[in-house]
Parts: sequence; structure tokens; C-alpha cells
Amino acid sequence: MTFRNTLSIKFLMATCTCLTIFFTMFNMAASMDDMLTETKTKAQTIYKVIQFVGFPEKSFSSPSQPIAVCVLGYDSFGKILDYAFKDKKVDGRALNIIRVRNFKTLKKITESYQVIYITKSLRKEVPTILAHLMGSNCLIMGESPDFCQQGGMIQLKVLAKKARFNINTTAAWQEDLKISSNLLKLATIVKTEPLISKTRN
Amino acid sequence: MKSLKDLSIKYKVMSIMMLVSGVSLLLAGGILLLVETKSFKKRYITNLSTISEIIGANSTSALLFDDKEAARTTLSALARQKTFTECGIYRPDEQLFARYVMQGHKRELPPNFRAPGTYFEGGKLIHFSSIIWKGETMGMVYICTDIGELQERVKQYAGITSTILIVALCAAVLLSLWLHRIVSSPVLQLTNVAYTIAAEQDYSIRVPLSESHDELGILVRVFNQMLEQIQERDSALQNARDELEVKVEERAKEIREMSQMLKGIITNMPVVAFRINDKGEFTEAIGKGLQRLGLRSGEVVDQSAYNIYPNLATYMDNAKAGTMTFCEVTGVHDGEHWCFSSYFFPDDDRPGHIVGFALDITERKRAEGHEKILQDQLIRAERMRSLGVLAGGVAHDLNNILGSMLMLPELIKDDVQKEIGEGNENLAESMKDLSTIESSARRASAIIKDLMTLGRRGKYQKVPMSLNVVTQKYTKSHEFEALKKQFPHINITKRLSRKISFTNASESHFTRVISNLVRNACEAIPESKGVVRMQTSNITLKEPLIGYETIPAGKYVLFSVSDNGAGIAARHFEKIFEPFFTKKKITGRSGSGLGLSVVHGVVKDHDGYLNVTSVPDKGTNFQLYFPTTEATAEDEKELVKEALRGGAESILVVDDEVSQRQLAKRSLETMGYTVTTAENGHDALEKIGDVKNEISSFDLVILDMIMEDDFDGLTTYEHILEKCPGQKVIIASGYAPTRRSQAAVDLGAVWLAKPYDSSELASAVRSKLDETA
Repeated sequence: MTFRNTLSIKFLMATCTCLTIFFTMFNMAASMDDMLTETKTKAQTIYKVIQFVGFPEKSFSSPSQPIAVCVLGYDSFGKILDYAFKDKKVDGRALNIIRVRNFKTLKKITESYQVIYITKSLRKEVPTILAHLMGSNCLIMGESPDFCQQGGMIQLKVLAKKARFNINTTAAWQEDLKISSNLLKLATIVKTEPLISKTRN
Repeated sequence: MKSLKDLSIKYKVMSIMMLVSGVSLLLAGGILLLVETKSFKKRYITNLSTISEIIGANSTSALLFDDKEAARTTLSALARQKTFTECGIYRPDEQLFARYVMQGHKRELPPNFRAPGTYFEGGKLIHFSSIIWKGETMGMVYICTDIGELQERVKQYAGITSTILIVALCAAVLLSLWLHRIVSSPVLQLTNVAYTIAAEQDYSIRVPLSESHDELGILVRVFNQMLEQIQERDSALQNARDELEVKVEERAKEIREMSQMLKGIITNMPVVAFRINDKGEFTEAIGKGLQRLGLRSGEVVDQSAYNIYPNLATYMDNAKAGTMTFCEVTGVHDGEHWCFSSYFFPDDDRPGHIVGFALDITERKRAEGHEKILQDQLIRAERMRSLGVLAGGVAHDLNNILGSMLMLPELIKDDVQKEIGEGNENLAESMKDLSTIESSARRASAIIKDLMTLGRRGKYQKVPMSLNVVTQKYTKSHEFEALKKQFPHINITKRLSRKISFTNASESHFTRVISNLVRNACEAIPESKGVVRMQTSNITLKEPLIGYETIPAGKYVLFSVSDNGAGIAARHFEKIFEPFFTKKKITGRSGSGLGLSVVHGVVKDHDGYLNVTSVPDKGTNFQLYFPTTEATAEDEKELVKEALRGGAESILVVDDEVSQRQLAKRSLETMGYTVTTAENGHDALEKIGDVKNEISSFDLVILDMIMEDDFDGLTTYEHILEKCPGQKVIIASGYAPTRRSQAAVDLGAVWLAKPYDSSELASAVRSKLDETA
């Protein structure tokens, strides 16, 4: 083996290494970008979904009362959600974000909130949380699999960079929330048994 | 094509009804169609807008959540409506979000973006609408629909409208057919009546009165009233017109008659009627008088009168100035002179124009000339008659003297001849002297006879005779033979017509005429060979012959004597028949100047005419025209025979001249008569003596007319008639007839001119004796 051959192999190996590193870095960046896009999409979707939901009057104490959006669990949105809600209003109401790390903290919160988004970090506590929130007239959204089957109202998911969601109309009906048909026709309807009996008006 | 105003009112009403109905229906249909189309469009647009809004509303979430599939699902619902051909949902940045295209339709998206609204474009209806959700524009909906339905709807409406129109028009026609009578029937009746009245002029016809009280009813009533007025007026007018027509007819008849009269005058009268315009040109020239001028009717029209008749310019100018003028115009055409009396009048109706006429006075002028000739002839005849009377008076006395000179030499010669026969030769010389005396006496007698003939004009005994016979007798006479001996160098011929007509004539006088003419002709021929021709012929003049004198038309016996002698000078032509006019001193006998005067007198006494033509140095032709009579040749023979026949009757000759008495006695006795003589009237009455049964012993008495002053022939005759009313008497006289001699003739006597010869005496005697009582 000649020096030249040795040099070439080294160069080739270095090149491959560099390429490997490059591609790895590229993939990582792409993955990061995808995650960011997904987060952004979810943040925007939360805002959009809120617009298609009719809250009962009792959810607000006053007409100008902002809509309190509680992010329960690990907040993967970060500032993205803030950016998404910034200067936005739904039916004349501003959007306030409340970040709650866990269920315990949630229990302690006395102030009212109209939307609760349960992140994937609390997927195991979803049934408990849903039970707790029963009768709160809150719009309960989540991103964990089978969220709706577990009794959640709206499960967000991003497919091909586009937001898709499942809606449990039974859960929404139980909480007196009116979800727009426009939203419903975009969603996958999931029906579960009502947790409590309710007379439909 | 007929215009509406020319149509019958029936069709006019129908047309108007149909027109109004059609226009109304068309307008209604059109407006309905417009309204419906507009409404349909509005609905269409509203519907489209609604659909668009629905699509927009249903697409909000899809847009918001970028769910194209959901948007397509929403749009796919449009497939149920076949009118939507295309539909699209756009993002606010005009990027197509979702689309729908009707199956089988060509994809045309994306269209040009427009502001929200509805647009008709290329047979399509396009609608743009914004998708607004919660005050935010989410995007845009574009929807396109085919307006075929709209067009179909319009067609449908148009069809319905047309159908309604046709049905309505049919209904209108039917209705108008039924309803037009209300209006048109009275009008048509009115029209028919008006037509009938106009065609038949019968104003008694009336339009049937309608019960309606509308304008037509009023019109009919007023029309009928008007007809009544017209009828009354027409009746009055008709009467007036009838009267006028009668007057016009009368006037027209008068004008026609006047026109015919004028036409007849102009056509038959020798007149030229003419008009001359202000330029001096003839505008009309008609009339029979144009023939005289050698012009045809209208030939001079358009020709200047001033050029044709420049010498009439003054007269025409005066007439133009307003003064009637007159002049006589003369000229020559074809060698014949003409003369017109022309009158020029100003035309009152046309200033500067002239009307006039010209009367042909050529014949009058000629007649005036001829009248002058006749007057000259009359004067000449009177002069000749006066001369004849004068000559006759002288001749009577000479005749009585010559009577014995003529007769005694014959008697003496008989005695001398007896003496010579008995041997007395010394008397032979006396015999020659007696012959000379006798010859001279005869010549004197001839002259005296001419004079007597002139003086005895018109009282000849004329009988029907043939001039051929007389001429032949003359050519066999002693006188003719003597004449030929006297003019041996002259060939005297005769050419007599075989079938000559008879004429009443005195033979002795006519013989004298022949003798005079032939002698005159011979004496006119100088000492060279010449020809004298006697000729007779029948001639018929269809028109008067203007010659030496004018000979009327009629049938004549023509006797002519022509010669090739010296002729007659023109200056002497008028005087040749005057007594004692002569230019010939050839013979002793010639130059008496009585020959042609006798000819003239005899011809005139025979109601005949004379014509003389003469060319100096060429000769002269005397033509005598005697009127014919109906007698025949048998009559002539009989007359000649009778003239020579004598008898055994007893005759008393009464004459105060012894010689005349003896001569008559001898001649009559020679003829076989028993003759008694008486020297005067008293003697005659004694000789007759007493009579029995008013019948004397004499069958005939020959009385001399001029005897003793107080007892002439007429007185003797009257006394004889007292005794013997049926006594036959001959009155003989050497004088011209007088009232007394005429009275004797009226009493029944026969006139016998003296001197007479034996044949004349025999003829007269026989004629009277054979006369029945």
C-alpha cells in the first residue's frame, strides 16, 4: 500500500465521517424543525379550535372576561403558544395562558379557566384529570393517543404538517359545550358513553 | 300593397283591433318576459349568492385548518345541481384552495379575479364572494353557472308569449269579425248608398236608420237629411238644367244653322274668310274664293300677309289700329284676271289681330263689262232698227214704183216675143233693153227688199223648215249660178249635215241671208283663188257661248259661211252689221251696206244669234245659231208641196196700185184661181155685193192695207165682216206692221208682206184657204 493510497483512504474516511456528521446534523436539524412546526401547528390549532367552540354563559362572569387557556403538564409550546395567542381574541375575549405543571397544582388553582390542554407528559393521568374536571364546563383538549376514548373532548394530532383532531361529542355535550359543525366535519368523531346522565335541552 | 287608409272600413276595424291586440300582447309579453327574466336573474343571482355564501361558510373551517379535502367535499355537493359548472375556493392570497368542475365540463379555472359580485360573461353567470369568518377574510368563493337555464326559460316564456299572441290574435280576429259590424255595418251601408247614389244619381235613396244614438246613428240621420236637401236641390237644379238645356239646344241649333249658313256661304260663295295675327301672318284662310286665287284651304297659313300682298299693308295696318278698311284687290292667276273686294276688321277679342273676308267680284266685273257690250249691242240694234224703219219707209214707195218695173218688162217681153215671133226683127234690140230694165229693176228690188226687210223686222211668216233644203235651193238658183259666174276664181262649197234639225224660219228671208253672206264672203276675197264654204250642223251648247254676242245654252241649228279672204279689221268689227256700213266697192251691187244688216235683222227676227270670228288676211267665219223646232222632214216636204199647190177657188184682189193688182191677178190665175180685182175698198164691197147666208161669192179676199186714207184695208175688212163674218182675208202691206194692221190680223186676217213673189203669195193663199173656219 502506498502513501498515496493511505492518504486517499484517510481522505475518504474523513470525507465519509464528515458526510456522516453532516447528514446527522442535517437530520437532527430537520427533526428539530419538524418538531417546531408541529408545535407551532398545535398552538395555532388550539386557537382555531377555541373559535369553533361555544361556551356556556356560566363559563364567563362577564362579557369581557378573557378565555383562560390552561396548559397542563409539560409545556412543549414555550413561547410559541404565546406568539400564537398574541393579540388574538375570540368573540371579543382575549386569551390568557395558564401553565400548570401537574395535576396537583391544578387542584389547587381556584381561579376558573375555560380551556385545558393536557400535554403528552400527563397521558397516564388523563382519566383522573378528566374525572376531576367533570362538570367544569371546560374545553378539554389533549394530545395523547386515545384521549377521546378516555373521555377527553378533543385530541390534537399533526399529520403531514397539518392539524387533525378527534372530537368526543359526548364529552362536549356533557360539559354543555357547543362545537361548530364546521369543526366537527373536519374532525374524527369519537363517541363514548356519557359519564353522567344529562338531559338534553 | 294596400295601405291601411285604402282598406275597407271592415278590414280597417279588424286590422286596428288586431294591431292593437297584437301590440298590446307583444308589449305585455315582452314586459312580462323582461320582468320574468329579470326576476329569474335576480333569483338566480340570489340563489347563486346564497350557494356561494353557504359554500363559503362551510369552507371556513376547511380553510382555517387547511383541509382541502373537506373543502372539496363541500364543493362536491354542487354536483347535484347541473347548472353549476365550476366552483373554486381561494385563499386570501388568491391561491386556489379547492375546486369543483362539473363532469364533462372543460376546466377553465382560475378566472380573472374580480371584486365580489355577479357577472355575466360569455354566456355564463359568474359570482365572486368573500369568505369572512368572525370578521376576518378567510378566502374567496368563485362560482360559475351556465345560464342555459335562463335562456331556456326565456325561450319558454317567448314561446308561451307567442302562443298567447297567436291565440289572442285569432280570438281578436274572430271577435273583430263579429264586432266590426257594430261600427262598419252602418258605415258600409252609408258607403253603399253613397256609391249607389253616385252611380245612379238617384237622390231618393236613403240609408236605413239605425237604432243607435251614437255618432254613426247621428251621421246616418244627418246623411239622410243631407240627401233630402240634395234631392230637393237636384230636382230644382234638374229643372233649371232642363230649361237651360232647352235654351242651349235652341241656341246650339241657331248656332248650327248659322254655322251651316255661314259654312254654306263660305263654301259656295266666292268668298275667302281669313284671320291674320299680330305678326301679320295668316292663321286661317278658307272659302271657295281661294280657287280663284289658285290656293288650297289653309295653304297660306303661317305665311306673312304683308309678303303675299304688300300693296295691302296700309289697309292691314289701319285694321290693326282698330279701323275697318276696304279695298279692291286685283291679280292674275293662270292667265285669268281676278278681282276681290276685301274687308279688314280689327279682332275685338285679340288686339293687333285682323279678321276679314274677300268677296270674289271677278264675275261681277266681267258681267259689268259684258253688260256694257250688251248695252252697246242694244244701242246698235236700236240704231239699226231706226235705220230700218227709215229705210223701210223709203222702200215702200220705191217698191210700189218698182212693182210695175219688175212686172211690166215681163209682160212687154211676152208681147215683144210674140211680135218677134211674127217676124218683127226690129224689136230684138228692144228685147235686150227690156232685159236690162228688168235686170236693173231686180237689183233695185233686191236693195229695196233689203230695206223692206230691215223695215219689216219680226213679222215674217215662219214655218218649220230644214236649212239644208233652203241652202240646196239656193245653190240651184239662178242667183247662185250668176254669183259663181261673177266670181269664177272662188270655189264655193257646201257641207250639210245629214240629220239637220228643223227651225222655224221664213224661207225667203233665210235665202236672202244665205245669199247676202255668200256674196259678202266672195266679195271679201281678193283677185286670187279663194274658198267659200257653207256649212250646216246641229249644235248643243251646254254653257252660254260668249262670242260676238252671248249665245245662251240650248239646242241650235248652226249655219256658217266661212272664207279665206281679207278678214275684218278689229276697228270695224263692231260696225259690220250697221246699215250702210261698207268697205267694199268691188262690184256695182256691192257697197250698199245693207247685206250684213239684213243678215243681223233676219237672225234676230228668228230668235237666233250671231257669232263672227275673223282674222285679218286669213278669213272670216259667220256663224248663225237658230233655235231648233220639233218638226220633221215629212212636214218640210208637205210644206214645200203645199206652197207650190194652187187651187180653183174664187179670189178677190183689192189694191189701189194697178200694177200690184195686175201682178197678183196674173200670178193667181196662173195657179188656177178665179181672180176678181177691185181698185179700193168701196169697189171691193160692191164686187162682193149682196150675200146669201152671210157667205160671199169669194173664197178669199186679198186686201192692201194702205189704201185711201179713210178706207184702208182694215176698214174694208171690217165692212166685209159685217156682211160675211166668216170671210177669209189676207192683208198685204209694204209697210212695217202698224196698230191697224195688227188689228186686222187680230180680226182673223193673215199678214202678207209686200213685195211678195209668186211662191210667197201661193203659200199664203193656200194656207189661208185651207184654214178651217
